[in-house]
Amino acid sequence: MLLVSSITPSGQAWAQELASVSVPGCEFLGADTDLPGVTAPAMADSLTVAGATVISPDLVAGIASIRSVDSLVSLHTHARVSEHPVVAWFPGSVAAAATDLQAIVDLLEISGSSALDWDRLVSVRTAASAIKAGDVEIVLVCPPEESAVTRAVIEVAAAAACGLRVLGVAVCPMPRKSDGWPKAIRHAAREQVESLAQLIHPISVRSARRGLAPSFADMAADVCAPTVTATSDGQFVWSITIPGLSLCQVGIGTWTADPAYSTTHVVVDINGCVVRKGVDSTLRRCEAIDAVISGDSIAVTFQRTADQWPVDEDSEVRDG
Amino acid sequence: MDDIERPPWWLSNAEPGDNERPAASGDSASDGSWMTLLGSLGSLAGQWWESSGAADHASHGDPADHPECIVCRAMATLATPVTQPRSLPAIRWLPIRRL
Repeated sequence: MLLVSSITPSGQAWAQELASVSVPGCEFLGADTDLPGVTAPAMADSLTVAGATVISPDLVAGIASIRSVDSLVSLHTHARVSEHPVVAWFPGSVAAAATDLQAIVDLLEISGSSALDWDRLVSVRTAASAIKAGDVEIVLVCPPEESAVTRAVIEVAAAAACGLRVLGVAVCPMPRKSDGWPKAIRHAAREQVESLAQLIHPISVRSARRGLAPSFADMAADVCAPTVTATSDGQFVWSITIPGLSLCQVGIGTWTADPAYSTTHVVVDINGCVVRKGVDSTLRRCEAIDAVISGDSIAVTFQRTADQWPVDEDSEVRDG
Repeated sequence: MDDIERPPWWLSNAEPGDNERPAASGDSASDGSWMTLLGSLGSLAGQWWESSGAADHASHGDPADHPECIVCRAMATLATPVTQPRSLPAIRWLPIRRL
């Protein structure tokens, strides 16, 4: 499934054209598509609202979040049964919907939800798994304007971090000489395209040519695979490179879904989109002590937790 | 229709089936009916308190052993923890160094 979203409302017109040139013979679901949102009531039933502790902005944001997640799940459910490849217009931030979807699945998993909840929410889990597996691709439409480019960089970073495959950013429309745009404006637009390409490298940036939307027929690579390396002093370094991270407000932390371990996930907050990345069995037995950001890269240092790494007395005797 | 228009017996202090008696008129009659009403309510409350077993509550020890006592039932209900809202465990944020 390919989702097309836009930084500005005018990008919606380009989405359908982009879909037809990128995925020939696709089924395009535009803004007027009304898919049955069957999971929203089930999600609302499964989550407990914390009564009076919830203030109204939280409640409004929560309802908007559930509607957005429901829309994402409905599109994925439709794409799974469709005979044709599906390209869908997604209003709002795909990354925010994807991270909210993952948070809901995490919440259901750790809260020991009933089998009934799981049966009703099978499409939610399937959509979350598809995003984790990289089966959901996105293209972002962005005008060649500085603030829009900044927002596009943040959206790309959050989307790539949460597992969405970012095919690229389409910069549309481009000011053309034939339309009477002066040279200075055309030059500034091209500079914005170049700047965007540098900021989100290696994700491709293509601009409209001759008034036509660019094509994104290539497969997107997984650019955000974390790696773990062991250091000489017995520590471990978890690192990840996220395109566009240098322009984002970033928070880094750890989180556990299992009380038996101090860490099961590394958490990266990218401008409010909280992404949880699972760690392997070695890091589960460690505790994070330091986080460093350099450009688009994050490095988190882990040290062994004493109670999870008991000293082998036999080896100590041999060494002694 | 007729039943709706007539006051119920527990407001008029009449016996069931005695609703045909004409209602009194005037201020004194009105004051009297209020006093009668209050008296009836007090009497009903006393009967309810007695039948609930709450009058004997002072001698009750463990509330769970006296489900017939309304005070014990209320105490047991209040002592039962409500379902806690489910939320994700807290994130441990790390200090960040930017190079």
